[in-house]
Amino acid sequence: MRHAIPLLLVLLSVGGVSADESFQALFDRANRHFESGDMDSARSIYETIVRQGCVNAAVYYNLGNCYLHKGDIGHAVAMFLRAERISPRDADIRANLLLARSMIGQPVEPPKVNRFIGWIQRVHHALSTSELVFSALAAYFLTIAAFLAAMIDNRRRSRRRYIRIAVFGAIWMAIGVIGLGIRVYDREGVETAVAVRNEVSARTGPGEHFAEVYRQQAGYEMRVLRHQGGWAEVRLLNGFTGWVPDDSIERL
Amino acid sequence: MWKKTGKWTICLLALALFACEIGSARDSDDVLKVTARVDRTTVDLYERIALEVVVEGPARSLPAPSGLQLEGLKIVGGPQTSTQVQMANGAWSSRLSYTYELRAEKEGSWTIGPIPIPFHGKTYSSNPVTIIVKKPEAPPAQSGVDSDSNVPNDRQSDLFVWATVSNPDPFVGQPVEVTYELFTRVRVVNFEPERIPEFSGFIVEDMELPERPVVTNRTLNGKEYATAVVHRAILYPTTAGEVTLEPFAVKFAVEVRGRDPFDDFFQSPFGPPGRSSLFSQHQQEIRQSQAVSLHVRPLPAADKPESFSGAVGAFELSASAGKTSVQVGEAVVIEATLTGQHGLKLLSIPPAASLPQFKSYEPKAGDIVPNPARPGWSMRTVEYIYVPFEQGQFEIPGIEFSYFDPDASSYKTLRTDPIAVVINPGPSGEGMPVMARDQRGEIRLLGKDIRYIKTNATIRAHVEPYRTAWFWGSVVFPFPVIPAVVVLNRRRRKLLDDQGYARAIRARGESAKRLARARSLHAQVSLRECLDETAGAFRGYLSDRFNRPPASISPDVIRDTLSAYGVEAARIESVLGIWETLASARFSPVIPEPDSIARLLERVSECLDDLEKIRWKARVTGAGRSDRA
Repeated sequence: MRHAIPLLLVLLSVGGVSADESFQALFDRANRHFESGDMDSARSIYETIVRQGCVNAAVYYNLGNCYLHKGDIGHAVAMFLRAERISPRDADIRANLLLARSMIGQPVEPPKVNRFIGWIQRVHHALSTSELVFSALAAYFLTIAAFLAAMIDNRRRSRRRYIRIAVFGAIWMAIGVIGLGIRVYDREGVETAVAVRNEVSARTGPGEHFAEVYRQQAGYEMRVLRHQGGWAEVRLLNGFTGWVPDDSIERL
Repeated sequence: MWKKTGKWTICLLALALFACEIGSARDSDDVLKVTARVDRTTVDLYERIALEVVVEGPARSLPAPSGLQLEGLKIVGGPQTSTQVQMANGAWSSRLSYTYELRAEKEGSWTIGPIPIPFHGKTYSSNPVTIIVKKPEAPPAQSGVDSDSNVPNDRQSDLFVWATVSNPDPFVGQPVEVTYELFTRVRVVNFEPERIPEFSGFIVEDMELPERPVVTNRTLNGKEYATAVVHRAILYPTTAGEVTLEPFAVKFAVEVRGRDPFDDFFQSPFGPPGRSSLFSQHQQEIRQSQAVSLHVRPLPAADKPESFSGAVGAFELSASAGKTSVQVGEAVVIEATLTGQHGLKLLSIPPAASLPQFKSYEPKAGDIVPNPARPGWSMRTVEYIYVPFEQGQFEIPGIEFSYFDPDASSYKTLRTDPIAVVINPGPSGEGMPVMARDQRGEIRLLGKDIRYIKTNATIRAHVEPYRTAWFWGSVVFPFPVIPAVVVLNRRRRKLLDDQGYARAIRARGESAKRLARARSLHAQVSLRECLDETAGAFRGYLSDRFNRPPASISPDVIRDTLSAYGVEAARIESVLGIWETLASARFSPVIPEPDSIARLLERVSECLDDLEKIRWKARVTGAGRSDRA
């Protein structure tokens, strides 16, 4: 037990994040280029930051803005979606994402869902992964603490109170774990992508000789089902399925 | 009394029956209804037909049909009869059904009936039924030739797969139905596809078949076969030219030795193994169909409409709008219904019209469902959404869909009527907004400007929390804590519940505190108090260890208790020596020298340490427990 706290501190320092001076300098430089109207240089530096492994909502957002100014709707939507994944309630990100979506040639109608399920989806979507993790962990510790307190406390009334808290915590934890599980599956188990080229024929099979199913526009959001020979089988929000060239989509 | 009542009851029943008989005789004057029907009107030569003659009338007994004259057809089974008789409101009514099994013996058109039914002096007649007997289009006898040379010839002709196509010379894109049918004269207990053709040059749409094959009887060259479809697909040719469909191979499990093959054949040629004879054996056999050649014709290049996207067949199109008077920003929804026989799944949906005053969305196509108005046809609903930017009166052009009609060998274009819509000003009254559809599918109005970049952000690399060590450390952290708390809680409860145990556990600690106080007093040269404190520590330790009141501790108690714990006599004497020394020092009128008190204090401390060890050993042997209890 004496070593537990130092160990935890070490773990925290390993897992924690710290400001990276070089990324910050690059970001500031890219911003100056953007403000001076040099979109290409700004985009190039933002992309360098991303390529070097820095995953950051502000970088993605600013990069999306560069694409949006250049009229590259597909890449803009992809970058705003990446930024939204990190900061789902950021008003700027949401506004520019909606704006980019509104500029898609033939937008895809998303499926209509039940009002209650839609509400749950919105709440889930509005919470960042960190918030889901902290919520689940808080419920986890509350449940364990209340359970131990109920075990230690001999007084019947107090014990009942602790049991109630433990049950509440367990329910909260179950909801949190389900929400987190869905999020992790969404991030790790499902490949999503955005179309970055306009007027690409989605076909019935992985090849140019297959029949066209629909015409893909830049900005279409899709789920990638599988890859084969430089082609990807994708499913749009409206359920349309087709094969498109790998280079016509940007994976998120 | 009972006998009298019983007789009256019988009499009343007889009267009722008599009355009914009279009623029956009276009703028999009414008209009989005689109906003849068959299960199908067009058959191949030597195929079987079921003929049912139904006689209905208001009588208890009805005459059977007789004098059935047949030409070109032969009765090979039946008749099977069924009778229904019922009485309602004192009147009888009956229904008599005679079912014959006929076999087509000659080609041609043959008429059954009218079948005469004489009844009460009158002759009633059935309706005539015409049956067309045609030459079978089925495969020739050699069709059963199998590439597997190990299979005997008679077996091959008894079991083969035949491929048929609905159209051997289709146009490019015209659906062709290919059917693989099993012909068997042996009992097939199971089958599965061995090799399905690749159908290269076609887009393939497999058709679902019932779980249990539908068996029909067919006669080929005088032999009767049970037939069932084993595979069916719709093929859409993608290129023109001569195309050959490769053979379709099927693996069968057939019953080798049945009771009576012909009997089995008529009863259920496709039965589960459990229903076959106990003495039968199953043998696997593979059959493949013949290859089928198709001549795919190219679509004519001339007069091809711009809106043509490859649809070939027969189609119908209709459209309707929901609300035609909406506000700016409110969606106008047009629902189009495309109906066709095949290929709706593969068709390109007609695009939405591009209008400067509207934002149009990608059409949303619904599921393909059977068309209730046209059996065999399917329909698909497509939803078009237009969101107006401006107020005014506009016309949304009709939806255009072109296809090639293979029957007419020409292109045809379907157009729905244009839809007039009235766009009213929106609540804001502002100019053209920017619209977007959010995650919920709701239309939102946005400002025109792009939100500016973030300039004051601190750039930290984001890592998903569930990938970090601290997350997993937090998850794992309670694992050792929980058992530790459980163990400590158990110990705490034991200390609370078992006073003797608690005193024994605390004995050395308490005595150590008192000895420390005694040392402090010794340092202050309060020698008498030091002796009292040392004696108190020694007595208190023994009292706690023995779980006895301090006043009850005496040399005898010490000796007895330590003996019971198995302590050696020398040690007991040593303890007793200290006890005596302390007593004499405390109660002596002369206070001993400080050095000797200090030595005594150390002796006490060492003795208690020693007792602690002895005590432990004694507890291990269990000697002390009985004493404490």
